[in-house]
Amino acid sequence: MAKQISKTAVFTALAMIFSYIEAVIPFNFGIPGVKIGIANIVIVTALYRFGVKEAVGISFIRVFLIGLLFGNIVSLVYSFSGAVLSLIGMIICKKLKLSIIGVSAVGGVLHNTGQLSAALIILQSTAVTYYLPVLLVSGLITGILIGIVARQTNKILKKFNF
Amino acid sequence: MKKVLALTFILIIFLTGCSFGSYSYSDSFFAMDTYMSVTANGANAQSAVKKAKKQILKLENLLSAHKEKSEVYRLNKNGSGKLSNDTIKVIKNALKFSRLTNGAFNPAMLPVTKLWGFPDKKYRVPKKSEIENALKLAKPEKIYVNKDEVTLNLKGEEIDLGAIAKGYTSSKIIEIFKREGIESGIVNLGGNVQTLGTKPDGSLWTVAIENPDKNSGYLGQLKIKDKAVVTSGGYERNFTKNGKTYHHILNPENGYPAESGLSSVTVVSRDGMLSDALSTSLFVMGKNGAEKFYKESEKDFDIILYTDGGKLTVSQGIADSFNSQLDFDIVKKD
Amino acid sequence: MNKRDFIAIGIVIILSALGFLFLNFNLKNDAQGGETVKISVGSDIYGTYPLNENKEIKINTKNGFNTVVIENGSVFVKDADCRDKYCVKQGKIRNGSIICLPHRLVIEIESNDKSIDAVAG
Repeated sequence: MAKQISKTAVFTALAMIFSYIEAVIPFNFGIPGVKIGIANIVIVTALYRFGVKEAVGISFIRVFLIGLLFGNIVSLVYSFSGAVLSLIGMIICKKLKLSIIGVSAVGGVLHNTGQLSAALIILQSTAVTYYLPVLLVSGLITGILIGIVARQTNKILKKFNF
Repeated sequence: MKKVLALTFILIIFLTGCSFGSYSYSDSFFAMDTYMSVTANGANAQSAVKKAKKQILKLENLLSAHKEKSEVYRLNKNGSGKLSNDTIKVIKNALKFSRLTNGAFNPAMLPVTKLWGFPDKKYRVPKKSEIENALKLAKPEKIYVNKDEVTLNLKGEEIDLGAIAKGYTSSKIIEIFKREGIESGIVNLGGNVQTLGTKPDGSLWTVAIENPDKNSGYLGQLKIKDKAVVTSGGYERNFTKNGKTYHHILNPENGYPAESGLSSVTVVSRDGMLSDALSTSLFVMGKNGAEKFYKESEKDFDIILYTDGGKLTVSQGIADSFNSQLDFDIVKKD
Repeated sequence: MNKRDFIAIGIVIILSALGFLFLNFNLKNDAQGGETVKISVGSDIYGTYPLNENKEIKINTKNGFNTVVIENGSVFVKDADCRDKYCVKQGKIRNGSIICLPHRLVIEIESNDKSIDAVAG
């Protein structure tokens, strides 16, 4: 039990570091809102290594702390909506026995959908709809990439029995 | 595995390539005493808009006559000085437009506008004698430019580039856009509009012309590309004293607000500075003067005149691209 | 990745797009009636309001307050504590914008058809 908690803590810290790296060195795609979301590598890996509870925990703590440290209430709401939708989608897809890459891709797409829906409701502006196709595609691509990385990470962790 | 990776990377390059093409970035902010918005479309949009904003702030700090530490402010205080490239260019152009319009454009009116309280918004109606004295200083022909040095030859002479600075700035932003590889963009510097190319979908930009009577519809809509549209009118800044309204466009001949029968003048041309300078000077000239100037000028520009009586006149070059609910006359070059 | 993945991804993308369009559509219906009033402070959007609904909006900016009134299809600033009160003097508008420079406040009327790219004036 204690071991599990410390592992989860390590993962949370890692997710925070990844978020921090991305906040400091934005991998700029020239489109506001489009990020690789490398912190999701940790979430996807946790989902497979540990389980649903841990992945949800890490994700929420990360969103909350990063929002507190670097964002404002609005960005926190955006991230949270993205995280919730993405987690729900990933958990369902994992239950449906999708591959880790597929799960991650679904998570990537839904993360962006969640964020954009929140923006739509908060801003009460339909102008953001313009971004939808871009964000769906970018979510898919980053999701696949993250899935590939998470799969490799998972293999390595397994070897070390982490 | 390698195949998947390779495929993904190709996909990324391909897909992001597409989405870049349809990407738009804009920013709105306050500068030069007004509200500005800058929009660029294209791969480099964000960096282009950021550079544009930087340029605006830089030019504001050079050209504003009211910002302490600006080059123009210092020049007015010291009577002469070495100035940066940008400031020299704007002053040279201001003097050129002053000659071109026979003095209807006058960059040396600051002593008079100060009497009326327009710069600091402490409005008052000056005495006739005060105005006459201040007008003696409003002599653009007494401004000498020698390479990077400008001398104001009358003691107390002061210049104000306000009627041309925004036009210079918008043209400069369009240049930045082009240098950044942007092919489509629009800048609105507090009503000074300049466009680059067409909209991303290839259609023309629609620029509405403000109605001096703000409680009714626009004067009309203009479909343009690669043009600068600037409207000047007494409605933009004015104050009322004893039931009489005094506006900010002063007639350089007598130092009083120009009462030319025009309510607003719009000038459309490829050059932001030309549009900006001419909109003010044509307003001073009045309807007949403006039409005459348009007919005789060798410069390439078009005009939209709106009189106090509500009569709308549009020049032939834009008559087909101008759309209005109001009836309008068309003025042609002879 | 197998067939199941692709199907799932496809479904998610389609659902996302549909859900989004649904939200979007609902929002459009809300804002029906031609034009909206967009109020921003500095570079932040303060709020958007339909032009055809009478409303009084008290805005406290860090530089001071403005009371904006939407009435019978036009907008005006009823009161403000800025120096020149130029925003108040501009009176009622049905097009274009009112700007309160000292408070960095912008009130813009936007037509829903979005056909106008800029207003010169």
